[in-house]
Amino acid sequence: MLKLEGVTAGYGGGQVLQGIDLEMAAGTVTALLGRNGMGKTTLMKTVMGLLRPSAGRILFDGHDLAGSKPYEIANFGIGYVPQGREIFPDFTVAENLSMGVLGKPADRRDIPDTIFDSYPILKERLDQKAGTMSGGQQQQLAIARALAGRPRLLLLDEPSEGIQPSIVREIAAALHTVAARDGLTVLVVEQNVEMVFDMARDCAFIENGRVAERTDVAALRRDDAPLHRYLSV
Amino acid sequence: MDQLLILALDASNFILAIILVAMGLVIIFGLMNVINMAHGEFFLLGAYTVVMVESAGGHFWLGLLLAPLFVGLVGVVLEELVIRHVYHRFLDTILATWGLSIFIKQAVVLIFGPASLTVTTPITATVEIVGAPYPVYRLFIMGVSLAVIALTFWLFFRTRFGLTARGVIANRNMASCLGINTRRLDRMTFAFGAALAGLAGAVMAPIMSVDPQMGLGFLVPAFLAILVGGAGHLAGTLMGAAVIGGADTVAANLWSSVVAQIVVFSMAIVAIRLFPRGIAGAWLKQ
Repeated sequence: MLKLEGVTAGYGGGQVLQGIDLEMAAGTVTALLGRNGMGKTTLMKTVMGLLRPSAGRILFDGHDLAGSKPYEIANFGIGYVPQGREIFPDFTVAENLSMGVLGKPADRRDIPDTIFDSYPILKERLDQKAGTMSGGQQQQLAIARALAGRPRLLLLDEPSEGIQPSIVREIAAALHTVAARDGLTVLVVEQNVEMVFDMARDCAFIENGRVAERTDVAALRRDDAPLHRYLSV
Repeated sequence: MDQLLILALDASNFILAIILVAMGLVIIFGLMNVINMAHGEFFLLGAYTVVMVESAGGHFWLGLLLAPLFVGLVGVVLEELVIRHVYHRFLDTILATWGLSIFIKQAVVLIFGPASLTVTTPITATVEIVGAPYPVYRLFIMGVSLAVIALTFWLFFRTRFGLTARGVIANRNMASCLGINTRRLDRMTFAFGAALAGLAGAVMAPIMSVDPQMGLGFLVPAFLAILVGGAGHLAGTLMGAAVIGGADTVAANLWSSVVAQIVVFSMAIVAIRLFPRGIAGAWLKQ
C-alpha cells in the first residue's frame, strides 16, 4: 500500500528525516509516535508532496510519489488532515466539504452521503461559517473534507490537538468505524496515547528522523516500555 | 444641477474602466501573490487589438470581441514563459513584470510607431440628458463594464471555479493537498485578469488617444484604487475605484488634470494613513 524506502527530507539545509523506512499494509491503521521535533509532521508533509525528499522512494500502490505535486498525490488517492486542521474559516461547512472534491474527476465531485452518517453534526451546520465552530467540530470537518475525496490512504496529523478529551474519543471512534467500513488505510501522528489505543492497530516509533521500532497496540497494552523509551511518558 | 449629472456620468465612466483594470490586478495578486506591473500594457494591447483589426479592414465590434481573447492568450503565454518561474519570489515578480511592461511598450512603438492613433467611435449618436446631448457610446461603455463586473462577481462567488479560486487564495497549500490543480488555476486566472484589462483597453479606445503610454494612465489609478479600497476583497476594489476615479474626474473638471493628480494622490495618502487595510478592510472588521 504505502512503502517508504530511505526517505530523506528537511527544510533548507537540515535533514529532519534521515532515511525513513516504513511499510503499511492496506486497511491497517498505523500510529506514528515520537517526541516533538523527531520528524513526524515532516514525514506527513513529505508523503503529501509539500516537501520534496532529497533521497529515497515513496511507493504508493507501487507508484513512486517522490517529486509529484500535492494535487497529483491527492488525486492518486491520499487524503490529508494537517496539524491545526487548516479548514477554510470564512467558508461554510458545505463549501469546505466541496473543496475536498472540486479537484477530483467529474464523476467523483459529489459528497458521499456516508460522510454525514459518520459526522451528523456537519449535516446540521452545512450553512454555518466553519471558523465559528468549536475545535472538535472543525476537526471533524477537516476529516470529513479529506474523506469526501474518497481517499484510499488517510494521513492524520495530531487530530486530538487542542480538543477536549470526550470529543477526542468520539473522533477516534468515528474514524475507527469509517476505516473498518471502507477498508481505509490510515497513518496517524498522535501524542495522545489513549487515542492511539482507541483507533490504531500498528505503531511506529520515530526517533532522530528514523523509524526506531515497530510494534502493535496489542503488544503495547501488555508492555508499555516503548512508550517510556520514545515518548518520555 | 445639469452640469452635475453630466459630471457624475463622466466620473462613472472612468470609475468603471478603472474597476475593470483593478479587478484583474486584485485577482492576480490574491491568487498568485504577483504584483503585475505589466497590467497597464494589457490595457494597451486591448486598444491596439482594435487598431489592428480596423487597419485590416475589420469593424470595431470585431476588435472589441477579439481584444479580451487576444490579450487573454498573451496572458497565458507570458504566465507560462515568465511568471510561473518567479512567482515564489515576490520582489522578482515586480521586476519581471516591469520588464515585460517595457518590452510590450517598446514592441508596440516598433510596430505602430510612437504617435497616437485614433479608433473610430462605433456609435456616434447622442441622447438628450437634462437638455444636453450626451454620447450614447459612453453609456455603452458603462453598460459593458457593469455587465463584466457583474459577471466577474458571479464567477467568483457563485460558481465552482470561483469557490476553487477563493480556496486557493485563502490557503494555497491546503487546496493543493485536496487535489486542486493550482498550476492550471494560476494560468486561467492570469489569463482572465489579462482579458479584463484587454477588454477595458478596447472599449475605452474610441474615447481616448491610443498611444504606447496609455496603459500607465489606468495602471496608476487602478493601483491607488486597490490600496485605498483594500487588496483583500473585490468589493474593496469597487469602493477604492469610486473614490479615486470620482475625485480625479471632479477635480479635473473643476480645476485641471494636474490639480486632479495632486488631489488624488493626497487623498490616497490620507486614506491609506487612516485605513491601512483599505476602506473595505476597516469596514468589514466592524
